[in-house]
Amino acid sequence: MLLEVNNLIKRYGDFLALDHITFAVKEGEIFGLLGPNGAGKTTTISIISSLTQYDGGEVKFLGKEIKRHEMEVKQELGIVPQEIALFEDLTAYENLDYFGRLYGLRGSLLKERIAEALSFTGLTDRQKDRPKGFSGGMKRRLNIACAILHHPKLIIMDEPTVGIDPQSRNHILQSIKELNKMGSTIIYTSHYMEEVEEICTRVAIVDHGRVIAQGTKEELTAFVSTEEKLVIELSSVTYTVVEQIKSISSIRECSIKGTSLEVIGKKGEHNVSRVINLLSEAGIEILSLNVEKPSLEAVFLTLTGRSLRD
Amino acid sequence: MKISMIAWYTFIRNVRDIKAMIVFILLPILMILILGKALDSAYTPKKIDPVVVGYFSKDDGLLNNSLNEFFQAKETSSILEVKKFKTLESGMNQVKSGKLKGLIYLEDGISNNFQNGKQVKINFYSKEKNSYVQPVLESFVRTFNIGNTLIKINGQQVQPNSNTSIIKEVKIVTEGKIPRGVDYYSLTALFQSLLFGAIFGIFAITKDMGNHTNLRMNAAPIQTSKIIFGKLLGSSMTLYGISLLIFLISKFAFQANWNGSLWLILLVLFLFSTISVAFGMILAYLSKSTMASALSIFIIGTILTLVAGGFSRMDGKVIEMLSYLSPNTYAQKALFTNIYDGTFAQSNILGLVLYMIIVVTLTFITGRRRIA
Ligand SMILES: Nc1ncnc2c1ncn2[C@@H]1O[C@H](COP(=O)(O)OP(=O)(O)OP(=O)(O)O)[C@@H](O)[C@H]1O
Ligand SMILES: [Mg+2]
Repeated sequence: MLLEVNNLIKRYGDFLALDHITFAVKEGEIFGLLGPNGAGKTTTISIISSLTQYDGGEVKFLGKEIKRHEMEVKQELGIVPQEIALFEDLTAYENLDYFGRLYGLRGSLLKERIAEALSFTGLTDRQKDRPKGFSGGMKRRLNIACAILHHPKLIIMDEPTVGIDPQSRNHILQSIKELNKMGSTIIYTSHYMEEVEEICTRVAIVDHGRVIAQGTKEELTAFVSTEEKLVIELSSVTYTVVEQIKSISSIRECSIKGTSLEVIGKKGEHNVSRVINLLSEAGIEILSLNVEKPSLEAVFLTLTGRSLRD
Repeated sequence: MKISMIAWYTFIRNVRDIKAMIVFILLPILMILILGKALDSAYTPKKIDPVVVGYFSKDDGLLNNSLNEFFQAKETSSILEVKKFKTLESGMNQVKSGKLKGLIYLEDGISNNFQNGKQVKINFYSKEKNSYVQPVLESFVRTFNIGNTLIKINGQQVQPNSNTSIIKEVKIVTEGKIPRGVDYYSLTALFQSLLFGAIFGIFAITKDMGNHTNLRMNAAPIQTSKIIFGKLLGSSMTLYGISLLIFLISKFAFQANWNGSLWLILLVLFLFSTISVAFGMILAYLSKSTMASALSIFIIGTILTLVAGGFSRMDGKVIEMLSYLSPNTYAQKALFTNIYDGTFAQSNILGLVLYMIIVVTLTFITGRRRIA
């Protein structure tokens, strides 16, 4: 395990911000911390980064208690804070130079890494400009660039896509995947479940300072739902076919929505192949077929009775 | 390495803050102009009472006569009140008891020796170094030192000089040695505005809170104390640079008297800049707010300047005790003593060093305490 967080407790006065948070991150994964506002994501990350003291539990990085190996652990972490953390009065290049040196880089290696981070985030052209004049997306990208200069083992990103346009957001999501392919383990927090669903290999859902569920996306959705939904677009539909589909034992419901069929059935019963067989026997052309799995949103809703966005 | 990097970037960021730079260079210049020029008459060297010195001569030749004439000249008599003594012992007793600031003593045959081309000495006895007597004597001596013949005072050799008139020499001496308004306020206003320069210490902390860059810095593998040290160094250097600039402007543009030891001036300005920036950092760490810290330093700075006599000279026991809480007191005394007396006020320099050590220690304590 790269990172183990065990029974982490954090109090702000009487308020219990983290209530026995427990999760573990394996080397090479993109681990998602999903939770609504105030769930305790940033607090958890601050503790892992040695920015905040905690009141109980333990955090181990590569088996070492972070409290006792603070500098060693910090050297291996790359932090992308939730709030954009850049020197407004220094150029993009100088920002990178500053943080690179803070992590002990210098000389030609530092220059190399700065150039690499700039091109990775698409900011090479703007390196001589101060972030003051940058768009939100560019600031977010520079915010990430500052955290990856020293090739950290673990990159922790706290809502790195907040408040930016879809294009920049895609750029960032793609670059996170790329960083992961290049060997970095990533912790990614968000309250956008679409993002987490898109890039994370495993997810912990946090609410009120507790981990209420964790696992791969499939494990989590399986946990709340035993059914799946097929959406099939067809050239034409006949009622006989609908009746035939309904007669399959594992299928609970089949209805016509325009030129599409919506089929809901038990999971793991080869529903897709059975339905396709029936349709081709009836000579109906399939234009498209989509298996919709329950989303993390649904998982959250089931577990808490609330929507993630509230 | 990391410390000097932080210091360098802190310095650069300060310098790029054009508004702050302009304000904190113009502020002291305006204050020197306003306080120094407008209040010139208010401050005026209050008429100083002449210094009482004794005179005993075993000589009755040229030097004795000239010296007596010199004592009677109007310009000299306003500075020196000379009491003549019949014996060396009676004069010395009064010096020892403190009734006299010093005793001038001419040995037997000094005029003869002088006229025969020998090197001679005028003796001056004093319990303490005195601001006026020695330079006055020197100006007298200069008029006699022609060619290779030398008169020495207290064993200190005086360079030969051209045959300028005694009167003129005395005038030059008085002008240089009594602080005028612009001299006095160049110093006090400089220190006052350097206290306001604590803003650079405040900025070093609060800007990084506003930028959230303090998060990144605290998450980086570097001890908090090194971050504090780097910032202290960077902002001190900024303020030190400003202080040197103002020193040069007041010296060359305003012709203020800075004729002391350059090294001492540089040292005092450095210590003071550091103290001021450390003040600012402490306030910023405690309040976490630029506005609150800036307001505090404005109030504190004004009080510290006030008790140190920065607006007008103040007397009284309470004020004197309070004045030792102000770094301005030590800095001003150290420089005034040096500029107008030619001596080093060791206790004041030491006081300033201790002051700096205390304030810097507090900076580290408040800076490290802050992580919740
Ligand atoms: N310094 C603090 N003092 C008091 N309470 C705090 C402090 N920091 C965080 N909290 C509280 O702790 C809880 C968790 O906050 P945290 O910032 O970790 O949430 P989050 O999951 O990151 O939320 P968001 O999605 O809004 O960033 C919140 O209720 C917050 O109000
Ligand atoms: Mg947060």
